[in-house]
Amino acid sequence: MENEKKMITLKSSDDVTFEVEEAVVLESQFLSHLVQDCPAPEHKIKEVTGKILSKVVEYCEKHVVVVVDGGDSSSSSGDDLKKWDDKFIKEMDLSTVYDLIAAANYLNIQALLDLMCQRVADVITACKDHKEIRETLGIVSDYTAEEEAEVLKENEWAFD
Amino acid sequence: MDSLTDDLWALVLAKLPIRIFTCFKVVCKQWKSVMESPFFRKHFVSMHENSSSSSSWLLMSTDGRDAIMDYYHQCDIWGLKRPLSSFIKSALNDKNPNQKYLDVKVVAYSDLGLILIYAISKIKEKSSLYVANPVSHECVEIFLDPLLEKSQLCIPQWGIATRVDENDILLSFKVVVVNRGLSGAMLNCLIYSSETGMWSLDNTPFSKYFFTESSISLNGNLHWFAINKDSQDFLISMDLYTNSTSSDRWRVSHFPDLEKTIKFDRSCCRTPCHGFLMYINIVSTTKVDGSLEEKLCVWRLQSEGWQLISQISPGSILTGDFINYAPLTINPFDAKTAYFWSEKQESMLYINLHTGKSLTYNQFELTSNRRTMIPAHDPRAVISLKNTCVGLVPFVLPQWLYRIPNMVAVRRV
Repeated sequence: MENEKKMITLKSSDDVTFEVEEAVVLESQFLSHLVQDCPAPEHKIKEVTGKILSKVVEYCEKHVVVVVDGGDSSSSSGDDLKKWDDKFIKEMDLSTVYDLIAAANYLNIQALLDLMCQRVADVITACKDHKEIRETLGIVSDYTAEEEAEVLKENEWAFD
Repeated sequence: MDSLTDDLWALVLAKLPIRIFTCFKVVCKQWKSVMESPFFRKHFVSMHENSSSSSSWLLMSTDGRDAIMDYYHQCDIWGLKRPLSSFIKSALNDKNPNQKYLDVKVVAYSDLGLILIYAISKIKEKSSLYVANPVSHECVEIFLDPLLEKSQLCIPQWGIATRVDENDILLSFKVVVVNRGLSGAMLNCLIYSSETGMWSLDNTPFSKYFFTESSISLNGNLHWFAINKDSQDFLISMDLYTNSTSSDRWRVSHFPDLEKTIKFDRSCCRTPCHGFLMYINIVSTTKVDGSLEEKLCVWRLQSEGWQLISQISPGSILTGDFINYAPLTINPFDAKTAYFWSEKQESMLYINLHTGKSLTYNQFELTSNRRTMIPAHDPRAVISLKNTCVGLVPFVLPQWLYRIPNMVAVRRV
Protein backbone atom coordinates (compact mmCIF):
# COMPACT_ATOMS: atom_id res chain seq x y z
CA MET A 1 0.00 0.00 0.00
CA GLU A 2 1.56 3.24 -1.01
CA ASN A 3 0.26 6.54 0.20
CA GLU A 4 0.62 9.35 -2.16
CA LYS A 5 3.19 11.66 -0.70
CA LYS A 6 1.84 15.02 0.29
CA MET A 7 3.67 17.85 -1.41
CA ILE A 8 4.10 21.34 -0.05
CA THR A 9 5.35 24.42 -1.83
CA LEU A 10 7.70 26.83 -0.11
CA LYS A 11 8.23 30.27 -1.52
CA SER A 12 11.29 32.35 -0.65
CA SER A 13 11.40 36.08 -0.01
CA ASP A 14 12.41 36.63 -3.64
CA ASP A 15 9.60 34.38 -4.91
CA VAL A 16 11.59 31.28 -5.76
CA THR A 17 9.40 28.23 -5.19
CA PHE A 18 10.39 24.79 -3.98
CA GLU A 19 8.08 21.82 -4.07
CA VAL A 20 8.99 19.39 -1.30
CA GLU A 21 7.52 16.36 0.44
CA GLU A 22 5.81 17.00 3.74
CA ALA A 23 8.40 14.87 5.55
CA VAL A 24 11.08 17.32 4.47
CA VAL A 25 9.16 20.25 5.88
CA LEU A 26 8.80 18.43 9.20
CA GLU A 27 12.57 18.69 9.74
CA SER A 28 11.84 22.28 10.62
CA GLN A 29 9.96 22.86 13.86
CA PHE A 30 8.77 26.20 12.61
CA LEU A 31 7.41 24.84 9.34
CA SER A 32 5.81 21.82 11.03
CA HIS A 33 3.71 24.17 13.12
CA LEU A 34 2.98 26.38 10.15
CA VAL A 35 1.83 23.45 8.01
CA GLN A 36 -0.32 22.08 10.79
CA ASP A 37 -1.88 25.39 11.71
CA CYS A 38 -2.64 26.62 8.22
CA PRO A 39 -3.05 23.91 5.65
CA ALA A 40 -2.45 26.06 2.57
CA PRO A 41 -0.66 24.48 -0.40
CA GLU A 42 1.93 27.23 -0.53
CA HIS A 43 3.87 28.94 2.26
CA LYS A 44 5.80 32.11 1.83
CA ILE A 45 8.93 32.43 3.99
CA LYS A 46 9.67 36.11 3.95
CA GLU A 47 12.85 35.90 5.99
CA VAL A 48 14.78 33.53 3.72
CA THR A 49 16.06 34.13 0.20
CA GLY A 50 15.82 31.60 -2.61
CA LYS A 51 19.55 30.95 -2.57
CA ILE A 52 19.52 30.04 1.10
CA LEU A 53 16.20 28.21 1.01
CA SER A 54 17.57 25.95 -1.71
CA LYS A 55 20.42 24.99 0.65
CA VAL A 56 17.99 24.40 3.50
CA VAL A 57 15.80 22.21 1.30
CA GLU A 58 18.86 20.30 0.05
CA TYR A 59 19.96 19.64 3.64
CA CYS A 60 16.53 18.59 4.87
CA GLU A 61 15.90 16.32 1.88
CA LYS A 62 19.18 14.52 2.49
CA HIS A 63 18.53 14.12 6.18
CA VAL A 64 14.95 13.00 5.90
CA VAL A 65 15.87 10.25 3.43
CA VAL A 66 18.44 8.82 5.78
CA VAL A 67 16.12 8.80 8.76
CA VAL A 68 13.41 7.00 6.78
CA ASP A 69 15.74 4.49 5.12
CA GLY A 70 18.09 4.21 8.07
CA GLY A 71 16.61 1.15 9.73
CA ASP A 72 19.24 -1.24 11.03
CA SER A 73 22.16 0.19 9.15
CA SER A 74 21.91 3.48 11.00
CA SER A 75 25.61 3.63 11.84
CA SER A 76 26.82 3.30 8.26
CA SER A 77 24.23 5.72 7.01
CA GLY A 78 25.29 7.98 9.88
CA ASP A 79 28.84 7.93 8.51
CA ASP A 80 27.57 8.62 5.02
CA LEU A 81 25.53 11.49 6.33
CA LYS A 82 28.53 12.95 8.10
CA LYS A 83 30.53 12.76 4.89
CA TRP A 84 27.70 14.44 3.10
CA ASP A 85 27.54 17.16 5.76
CA ASP A 86 31.28 17.75 5.46
CA LYS A 87 30.99 18.15 1.72
CA PHE A 88 27.93 20.32 2.14
CA ILE A 89 29.74 22.87 4.28
CA LYS A 90 33.14 22.63 2.68
CA GLU A 91 32.59 24.78 -0.37
CA MET A 92 30.30 27.23 1.34
CA ASP A 93 31.57 30.76 1.82
CA LEU A 94 31.21 32.44 5.19
CA SER A 95 28.43 34.75 4.18
CA THR A 96 26.32 31.76 3.09
CA VAL A 97 27.15 30.05 6.41
CA TYR A 98 25.95 33.12 8.31
CA ASP A 99 22.74 33.22 6.28
CA LEU A 100 22.19 29.53 6.90
CA ILE A 101 22.71 30.00 10.65
CA ALA A 102 20.09 32.72 10.65
CA ALA A 103 17.73 30.62 8.51
CA ALA A 104 18.22 27.45 10.58
CA ASN A 105 17.60 29.44 13.73
CA TYR A 106 14.47 31.06 12.30
CA LEU A 107 13.09 27.82 10.87
CA ASN A 108 14.21 25.96 13.99
CA ILE A 109 16.24 23.16 12.43
CA GLN A 110 18.54 22.24 15.29
CA ALA A 111 20.86 19.85 13.46
CA LEU A 112 21.54 22.33 10.67
CA LEU A 113 22.06 25.13 13.19
CA ASP A 114 24.56 23.00 15.12
CA LEU A 115 26.39 22.04 11.96
CA MET A 116 26.73 25.62 10.79
CA CYS A 117 27.73 27.03 14.19
CA GLN A 118 30.35 24.31 14.52
CA ARG A 119 31.68 25.26 11.10
CA VAL A 120 32.29 28.86 12.21
CA ALA A 121 33.68 27.65 15.55
CA ASP A 122 36.16 25.45 13.69
CA VAL A 123 37.29 28.42 11.61
CA ILE A 124 37.82 30.43 14.81
CA THR A 125 39.69 27.58 16.53
CA ALA A 126 42.14 27.43 13.64
CA CYS A 127 43.13 31.06 14.18
CA LYS A 128 46.11 31.76 16.38
CA ASP A 129 45.00 35.12 17.79
CA HIS A 130 42.36 37.81 17.64
CA LYS A 131 44.04 39.50 14.66
CA GLU A 132 43.81 36.35 12.62
CA ILE A 133 40.19 35.89 13.69
CA ARG A 134 39.40 39.38 12.39
CA GLU A 135 41.21 38.73 9.12
CA THR A 136 39.61 35.35 8.52
CA LEU A 137 36.09 36.38 9.40
CA GLY A 138 36.39 39.80 7.81
CA ILE A 139 35.56 41.58 11.05
CA VAL A 140 36.63 45.20 11.28
CA SER A 141 37.55 46.13 14.81
CA ASP A 142 35.53 49.04 16.12
CA TYR A 143 37.87 49.63 19.03
CA THR A 144 40.02 52.72 19.14
CA ALA A 145 43.67 52.01 19.79
CA GLU A 146 43.24 53.08 23.43
CA GLU A 147 40.15 50.96 23.95
CA GLU A 148 41.83 47.95 22.41
CA ALA A 149 44.87 48.38 24.63
CA GLU A 150 42.58 48.51 27.63
CA VAL A 151 40.68 45.33 26.73
CA LEU A 152 43.96 43.62 25.96
CA LYS A 153 45.35 44.64 29.31
CA GLU A 154 42.26 43.43 31.08
CA ASN A 155 42.57 40.07 29.37
CA GLU A 156 46.34 39.90 29.35
CA TRP A 157 46.50 36.69 31.30
CA ALA A 158 44.64 34.89 28.54
CA PHE A 159 47.38 35.26 25.98
CA ASP A 160 50.13 33.09 27.33
CA MET B 1 24.83 38.49 5.31
CA ASP B 2 28.18 39.83 6.45
CA SER B 3 27.82 38.93 10.07
CA LEU B 4 25.46 37.53 12.68
CA THR B 5 23.24 39.02 15.33
CA ASP B 6 24.31 38.91 18.98
CA ASP B 7 22.18 35.88 19.78
CA LEU B 8 23.52 33.92 16.85
CA TRP B 9 27.11 34.81 17.69
CA ALA B 10 26.42 33.53 21.20
CA LEU B 11 25.42 30.15 19.71
CA VAL B 12 28.63 30.01 17.70
CA LEU B 13 31.02 31.19 20.41
CA ALA B 14 29.53 28.83 23.00
CA LYS B 15 30.83 25.92 20.90
CA LEU B 16 34.40 26.90 21.73
CA PRO B 17 36.32 25.86 24.84
CA ILE B 18 36.63 28.32 27.74
CA ARG B 19 40.37 28.34 27.46
CA ILE B 20 40.42 29.93 24.03
CA PHE B 21 37.34 32.08 24.19
CA THR B 22 39.00 34.37 26.66
CA CYS B 23 40.65 36.32 23.87
CA PHE B 24 37.49 36.92 21.87
CA LYS B 25 36.62 40.13 23.61
CA VAL B 26 39.42 41.88 21.78
CA VAL B 27 38.06 40.97 18.37
CA CYS B 28 35.32 43.63 18.32
CA LYS B 29 32.84 45.35 20.59
CA GLN B 30 29.99 43.11 19.51
CA TRP B 31 31.84 39.98 20.60
CA LYS B 32 32.75 41.59 23.90
CA SER B 33 29.16 42.44 24.65
CA VAL B 34 28.00 38.96 23.53
CA MET B 35 30.48 37.26 25.83
CA GLU B 36 29.52 39.42 28.77
CA SER B 37 25.80 38.82 28.28
CA PRO B 38 23.76 36.60 30.62
CA PHE B 39 22.29 34.86 27.55
CA PHE B 40 25.72 33.66 26.47
CA ARG B 41 26.59 32.34 29.92
CA LYS B 42 23.26 30.56 30.30
CA HIS B 43 23.55 29.00 26.88
CA PHE B 44 27.14 27.90 27.48
CA VAL B 45 26.48 26.41 30.90
CA SER B 46 23.28 24.63 29.84
CA MET B 47 25.02 23.20 26.79
CA HIS B 48 27.64 21.60 28.99
CA GLU B 49 25.86 20.72 32.19
CA ASN B 50 24.05 17.75 30.72
CA SER B 51 27.04 16.24 29.10
CA SER B 52 29.00 13.98 31.41
CA SER B 53 32.06 14.56 29.27
CA SER B 54 32.46 18.06 30.59
CA SER B 55 32.20 17.16 34.25
CA SER B 56 35.87 17.27 34.96
CA TRP B 57 37.09 16.97 38.48
CA LEU B 58 40.13 15.96 40.41
CA LEU B 59 40.75 14.43 43.77
CA MET B 60 43.52 16.43 45.33
CA SER B 61 45.66 15.27 48.19
CA THR B 62 45.81 17.76 51.00
CA ASP B 63 49.53 18.26 50.85
CA GLY B 64 48.57 20.19 47.76
CA ARG B 65 51.16 18.77 45.43
CA ASP B 66 49.38 16.30 43.26
CA ALA B 67 46.04 15.02 42.33
CA ILE B 68 45.51 11.45 43.36
CA MET B 69 42.82 11.08 40.78
CA ASP B 70 42.26 13.30 37.81
CA TYR B 71 38.93 12.75 36.22
CA TYR B 72 38.70 14.78 33.11
CA HIS B 73 38.39 14.97 29.40
CA GLN B 74 41.15 16.65 27.53
CA CYS B 75 40.39 19.52 25.20
CA ASP B 76 36.69 19.71 25.83
CA ILE B 77 35.25 22.81 27.41
CA TRP B 78 38.54 23.87 28.98
CA GLY B 79 40.86 23.14 26.13
CA LEU B 80 43.47 21.99 28.65
CA LYS B 81 46.27 19.94 27.22
CA ARG B 82 47.86 18.72 30.41
CA PRO B 83 46.69 17.58 33.81
CA LEU B 84 46.14 20.54 36.08
CA SER B 85 48.72 19.64 38.68
CA SER B 86 51.54 19.62 36.18
CA PHE B 87 51.49 23.24 35.14
CA ILE B 88 50.77 25.39 38.19
CA LYS B 89 54.37 25.72 39.27
CA SER B 90 55.72 26.29 35.77
CA ALA B 91 52.97 28.84 35.06
CA LEU B 92 53.85 30.83 38.18
CA ASN B 93 57.55 30.71 37.42
CA ASP B 94 56.94 31.85 33.85
CA LYS B 95 55.01 34.82 35.08
CA ASN B 96 57.61 35.79 37.66
CA PRO B 97 60.90 35.21 35.88
CA ASN B 98 62.95 37.09 38.46
CA GLN B 99 61.51 35.21 41.40
CA LYS B 100 61.91 31.49 41.03
CA TYR B 101 59.63 29.54 43.28
CA LEU B 102 61.11 26.74 45.24
CA ASP B 103 57.93 25.27 46.49
CA VAL B 104 54.47 25.82 45.08
CA LYS B 105 51.47 24.27 46.76
CA VAL B 106 47.80 24.50 46.03
CA VAL B 107 46.50 24.81 49.56
CA ALA B 108 42.77 25.25 49.01
CA TYR B 109 40.07 24.89 46.39
CA SER B 110 36.85 26.78 45.91
CA ASP B 111 33.70 25.11 44.64
CA LEU B 112 33.72 27.44 41.63
CA GLY B 113 37.08 26.14 40.57
CA LEU B 114 39.42 28.80 41.89
CA ILE B 115 42.57 27.71 43.65
CA LEU B 116 44.64 29.21 46.44
CA ILE B 117 48.37 28.87 45.92
CA TYR B 118 51.04 29.23 48.58
CA ALA B 119 54.48 29.67 47.11
CA ILE B 120 57.89 30.02 48.67
CA SER B 121 60.56 31.68 46.58
CA LYS B 122 64.28 30.98 46.62
CA ILE B 123 65.14 34.47 47.72
CA LYS B 124 65.13 34.70 51.50
CA GLU B 125 62.42 32.11 51.65
CA LYS B 126 59.85 34.80 50.98
CA SER B 127 56.34 33.43 50.75
CA SER B 128 53.49 34.58 48.53
CA LEU B 129 49.82 33.83 48.26
CA TYR B 130 47.87 33.71 44.99
CA VAL B 131 44.29 33.18 43.96
CA ALA B 132 44.05 31.75 40.46
CA ASN B 133 41.71 30.29 37.91
CA PRO B 134 43.60 27.21 36.76
CA VAL B 135 41.87 27.13 33.40
CA SER B 136 42.33 30.71 32.29
CA HIS B 137 45.55 31.18 34.31
CA GLU B 138 44.15 34.44 35.65
CA CYS B 139 46.02 34.99 38.86
CA VAL B 140 46.21 37.68 41.55
CA GLU B 141 48.64 37.99 44.38
CA ILE B 142 47.30 38.67 47.86
CA PHE B 143 49.54 40.46 50.25
CA LEU B 144 50.31 38.49 53.36
CA ASP B 145 49.51 39.91 56.75
CA PRO B 146 52.63 40.10 58.96
CA LEU B 147 50.91 37.53 61.15
CA LEU B 148 51.20 35.16 58.23
CA GLU B 149 54.93 35.39 57.70
CA LYS B 150 56.40 31.98 57.52
CA SER B 151 57.85 32.14 61.00
CA GLN B 152 54.43 32.95 62.43
CA LEU B 153 52.61 30.17 60.67
CA CYS B 154 52.19 26.94 62.46
CA ILE B 155 50.64 24.13 60.44
CA PRO B 156 48.12 26.46 58.80
CA GLN B 157 44.82 25.29 57.36
CA TRP B 158 43.72 27.29 54.37
CA GLY B 159 40.34 27.76 52.81
CA ILE B 160 38.80 29.83 50.05
CA ALA B 161 35.10 30.66 49.73
CA THR B 162 33.39 32.54 46.93
CA ARG B 163 30.18 34.39 46.26
CA VAL B 164 28.47 34.83 42.88
CA ASP B 165 25.43 36.86 41.87
CA GLU B 166 22.38 35.56 39.99
CA ASN B 167 24.22 36.03 36.70
CA ASP B 168 27.09 33.88 37.88
CA ILE B 169 29.46 36.80 38.09
CA LEU B 170 32.03 36.26 40.80
CA LEU B 171 31.48 39.09 43.24
CA SER B 172 34.06 38.35 45.85
CA PHE B 173 36.16 35.72 47.51
CA LYS B 174 37.42 35.25 51.03
CA VAL B 175 40.52 33.46 52.12
CA VAL B 176 40.67 31.91 55.55
CA VAL B 177 43.69 30.64 57.38
CA VAL B 178 43.39 28.77 60.61
CA ASN B 179 46.66 28.74 62.45
CA ARG B 180 47.17 25.69 64.55
CA GLY B 181 49.45 24.89 67.40
CA LEU B 182 51.67 21.84 67.35
CA SER B 183 49.01 19.95 69.21
CA GLY B 184 46.57 20.72 66.41
CA ALA B 185 44.43 23.11 68.40
CA MET B 186 43.46 26.36 66.77
CA LEU B 187 45.53 29.37 67.67
CA ASN B 188 43.90 32.04 65.62
CA CYS B 189 41.95 32.57 62.46
CA LEU B 190 42.50 35.26 59.85
CA ILE B 191 40.09 36.16 57.09
CA TYR B 192 40.97 38.06 53.94
CA SER B 193 38.19 39.68 51.95
CA SER B 194 38.58 40.68 48.31
CA GLU B 195 36.06 43.46 48.95
CA THR B 196 38.26 45.28 51.44
CA GLY B 197 41.64 43.89 50.46
CA MET B 198 42.37 43.44 54.16
CA TRP B 199 43.01 40.66 56.60
CA SER B 200 41.06 40.61 59.81
CA LEU B 201 41.41 38.51 62.91
CA ASP B 202 38.42 36.37 63.74
CA ASN B 203 37.86 35.60 67.38
CA THR B 204 36.56 32.16 66.99
CA PRO B 205 35.17 30.29 69.95
CA PHE B 206 36.62 27.00 68.77
CA SER B 207 40.12 27.00 70.13
CA LYS B 208 39.55 23.64 71.81
CA TYR B 209 39.03 21.81 68.53
CA PHE B 210 41.76 20.22 66.48
CA PHE B 211 41.42 20.72 62.77
CA THR B 212 42.84 17.73 61.05
CA GLU B 213 41.90 18.09 57.42
CA SER B 214 41.65 20.62 54.62
CA SER B 215 38.50 22.58 54.24
CA ILE B 216 35.75 21.89 51.76
CA SER B 217 34.35 25.03 50.16
CA LEU B 218 30.67 25.13 49.25
CA ASN B 219 28.40 28.10 48.48
CA GLY B 220 30.33 30.61 50.55
CA ASN B 221 30.83 28.18 53.43
CA LEU B 222 33.88 26.25 54.55
CA HIS B 223 33.65 22.90 56.29
CA TRP B 224 36.37 21.25 58.33
CA PHE B 225 36.64 17.92 59.98
CA ALA B 226 37.67 18.45 63.60
CA ILE B 227 38.06 16.55 66.83
CA ASN B 228 37.89 17.75 70.40
CA LYS B 229 40.12 16.76 73.29
CA ASP B 230 37.92 13.75 74.06
CA SER B 231 38.54 12.48 70.52
CA GLN B 232 35.00 13.08 69.38
CA ASP B 233 34.50 13.88 65.71
CA PHE B 234 32.80 17.07 64.59
CA LEU B 235 32.14 18.98 61.47
CA ILE B 236 32.92 22.65 61.85
CA SER B 237 31.34 24.97 59.32
CA MET B 238 32.00 28.63 58.74
CA ASP B 239 29.63 30.88 56.84
CA LEU B 240 31.81 33.59 55.36
CA TYR B 241 29.00 35.64 53.89
CA THR B 242 26.63 35.87 56.80
CA ASN B 243 25.75 39.34 57.98
CA SER B 244 25.77 38.39 61.60
CA THR B 245 28.58 38.69 64.08
CA SER B 246 31.72 36.66 63.90
CA SER B 247 30.76 34.07 66.49
CA ASP B 248 27.55 33.31 64.58
CA ARG B 249 29.40 32.44 61.46
CA TRP B 250 30.73 29.26 63.05
CA ARG B 251 28.65 26.16 63.49
CA VAL B 252 29.48 22.77 64.94
CA SER B 253 27.64 19.65 63.76
CA HIS B 254 27.85 16.18 65.15
CA PHE B 255 28.12 13.39 62.66
CA PRO B 256 24.86 11.51 62.09
CA ASP B 257 26.36 8.16 63.09
CA LEU B 258 27.91 9.42 66.30
CA GLU B 259 26.81 6.63 68.62
CA LYS B 260 27.17 3.83 66.12
CA THR B 261 29.90 1.48 65.06
CA ILE B 262 31.38 2.67 61.83
CA LYS B 263 33.84 1.17 59.42
CA PHE B 264 35.82 4.08 58.07
CA ASP B 265 37.58 6.98 59.63
CA ARG B 266 35.11 9.85 59.40
CA SER B 267 37.71 12.26 58.14
CA CYS B 268 38.00 10.56 54.77
CA CYS B 269 34.31 10.19 54.17
CA ARG B 270 33.07 13.67 53.40
CA THR B 271 32.79 14.94 49.88
CA PRO B 272 30.91 17.67 48.00
CA CYS B 273 28.30 16.71 45.44
CA HIS B 274 25.81 18.87 43.55
CA GLY B 275 26.49 21.75 45.92
CA PHE B 276 25.96 19.75 49.12
CA LEU B 277 28.37 18.24 51.56
CA MET B 278 27.93 14.47 51.59
CA TYR B 279 29.09 12.00 54.18
CA ILE B 280 29.41 8.30 53.53
CA ASN B 281 30.17 5.42 55.89
CA ILE B 282 29.35 1.83 56.69
CA VAL B 283 27.33 1.57 59.89
CA SER B 284 26.79 -1.63 61.86
CA THR B 285 23.45 -2.21 63.52
CA THR B 286 22.32 -5.15 65.60
CA LYS B 287 19.30 -6.95 64.26
CA VAL B 288 16.52 -8.42 66.39
CA ASP B 289 18.13 -11.87 66.31
CA GLY B 290 21.40 -10.44 67.63
CA SER B 291 23.35 -10.62 64.37
CA LEU B 292 25.17 -7.65 62.97
CA GLU B 293 24.01 -5.93 59.85
CA GLU B 294 26.15 -3.50 57.90
CA LYS B 295 24.71 -0.69 55.84
CA LEU B 296 26.41 1.71 53.50
CA CYS B 297 24.81 5.04 54.35
CA VAL B 298 24.99 8.39 52.63
CA TRP B 299 23.95 11.63 54.31
CA ARG B 300 23.64 15.14 52.98
CA LEU B 301 24.22 18.24 55.08
CA GLN B 302 21.29 20.63 54.88
CA SER B 303 20.56 23.75 56.86
CA GLU B 304 18.52 21.74 59.36
CA GLY B 305 21.20 19.08 59.72
CA TRP B 306 22.17 15.74 58.21
CA GLN B 307 19.64 13.98 56.06
CA LEU B 308 19.99 10.28 55.28
CA ILE B 309 19.59 9.97 51.52
CA SER B 310 20.50 6.39 50.84
CA GLN B 311 21.07 3.21 52.77
CA ILE B 312 22.09 0.05 51.00
CA SER B 313 23.69 -3.27 51.71
CA PRO B 314 27.34 -2.77 50.82
CA GLY B 315 27.97 -6.19 49.33
CA SER B 316 30.50 -8.78 50.40
CA ILE B 317 33.50 -6.80 49.22
CA LEU B 318 32.96 -4.12 51.87
CA THR B 319 31.66 -6.25 54.73
CA GLY B 320 33.54 -8.29 57.28
CA ASP B 321 36.42 -7.31 59.50
CA PHE B 322 39.20 -7.18 56.97
CA ILE B 323 38.52 -5.05 53.99
CA ASN B 324 41.10 -3.42 51.82
CA TYR B 325 39.05 -0.60 50.44
CA ALA B 326 38.76 2.93 51.72
CA PRO B 327 36.33 5.51 50.40
CA LEU B 328 37.79 7.97 47.92
CA THR B 329 34.85 10.16 47.02
CA ILE B 330 31.39 10.43 45.60
CA ASN B 331 31.32 11.67 42.03
CA PRO B 332 30.68 15.43 42.42
CA PHE B 333 28.36 15.34 39.40
CA ASP B 334 26.68 12.02 39.98
CA ALA B 335 25.32 11.41 43.46
CA LYS B 336 24.77 7.71 42.83
CA THR B 337 28.40 6.79 42.14
CA ALA B 338 30.98 6.37 44.89
CA TYR B 339 34.62 5.36 44.45
CA PHE B 340 36.68 3.25 46.81
CA TRP B 341 40.34 2.49 46.47
CA SER B 342 42.53 -0.31 47.68
CA GLU B 343 46.13 0.66 47.89
CA LYS B 344 47.23 -2.86 48.65
CA GLN B 345 45.54 -4.36 45.66
CA GLU B 346 45.87 -1.27 43.48
CA SER B 347 42.28 -1.67 42.64
CA MET B 348 39.37 0.69 42.32
CA LEU B 349 35.83 -0.08 43.34
CA TYR B 350 32.81 1.70 41.89
CA ILE B 351 29.56 1.43 43.80
CA ASN B 352 26.13 2.43 42.61
CA LEU B 353 24.60 3.95 45.73
CA HIS B 354 21.06 3.29 44.56
CA THR B 355 21.32 -0.36 43.63
CA GLY B 356 24.36 -1.44 45.65
CA LYS B 357 25.94 -2.92 42.55
CA SER B 358 29.69 -2.65 42.53
CA LEU B 359 32.49 -3.18 40.08
CA THR B 360 36.20 -3.49 40.73
CA TYR B 361 38.86 -2.49 38.32
CA ASN B 362 42.48 -3.41 38.53
CA GLN B 363 43.38 -3.22 34.89
CA PHE B 364 45.39 -0.08 34.65
CA GLU B 365 47.59 1.35 32.04
CA LEU B 366 50.68 3.12 33.34
CA THR B 367 51.22 6.58 31.94
CA SER B 368 54.57 7.47 30.45
CA ASN B 369 55.95 8.99 33.65
CA ARG B 370 55.01 5.78 35.48
CA ARG B 371 53.64 7.80 38.34
CA THR B 372 50.06 7.63 37.34
CA MET B 373 47.80 5.06 35.84
CA ILE B 374 44.62 5.08 33.88
CA PRO B 375 41.85 2.52 34.32
CA ALA B 376 41.62 0.62 31.08
CA HIS B 377 37.83 0.87 30.96
CA ASP B 378 37.62 4.54 31.81
CA PRO B 379 40.26 6.72 30.21
CA ARG B 380 38.91 9.83 31.89
CA ALA B 381 40.21 8.86 35.29
CA VAL B 382 43.89 9.19 36.10
CA ILE B 383 45.08 7.75 39.38
CA SER B 384 48.29 8.74 41.02
CA LEU B 385 50.30 5.91 42.46
CA LYS B 386 52.36 7.72 45.00
CA ASN B 387 49.78 9.21 47.27
CA THR B 388 47.98 7.57 50.08
CA CYS B 389 44.28 8.06 50.36
CA VAL B 390 44.07 10.39 53.30
CA GLY B 391 42.54 13.80 53.38
CA LEU B 392 41.48 14.00 49.78
CA VAL B 393 39.54 16.96 48.47
CA PRO B 394 37.52 16.66 45.28
CA PHE B 395 38.10 19.66 43.11
CA VAL B 396 35.78 20.51 40.26
CA LEU B 397 37.26 22.47 37.41
CA PRO B 398 35.49 25.74 36.65
CA GLN B 399 32.25 25.28 34.71
CA TRP B 400 32.39 28.85 33.61
CA LEU B 401 35.07 31.45 33.17
CA TYR B 402 34.83 33.11 36.54
CA ARG B 403 36.83 36.30 36.43
CA ILE B 404 38.59 37.24 39.62
CA PRO B 405 36.88 40.45 40.78
CA ASN B 406 38.69 43.73 40.59
CA MET B 407 40.19 44.36 43.94
CA VAL B 408 42.04 47.00 45.81
CA ALA B 409 45.76 46.64 46.30
CA VAL B 410 46.43 43.49 44.38
CA ARG B 411 48.96 42.63 41.79
CA ARG B 412 47.76 40.80 38.72
CA VAL B 413 50.36 38.34 37.61
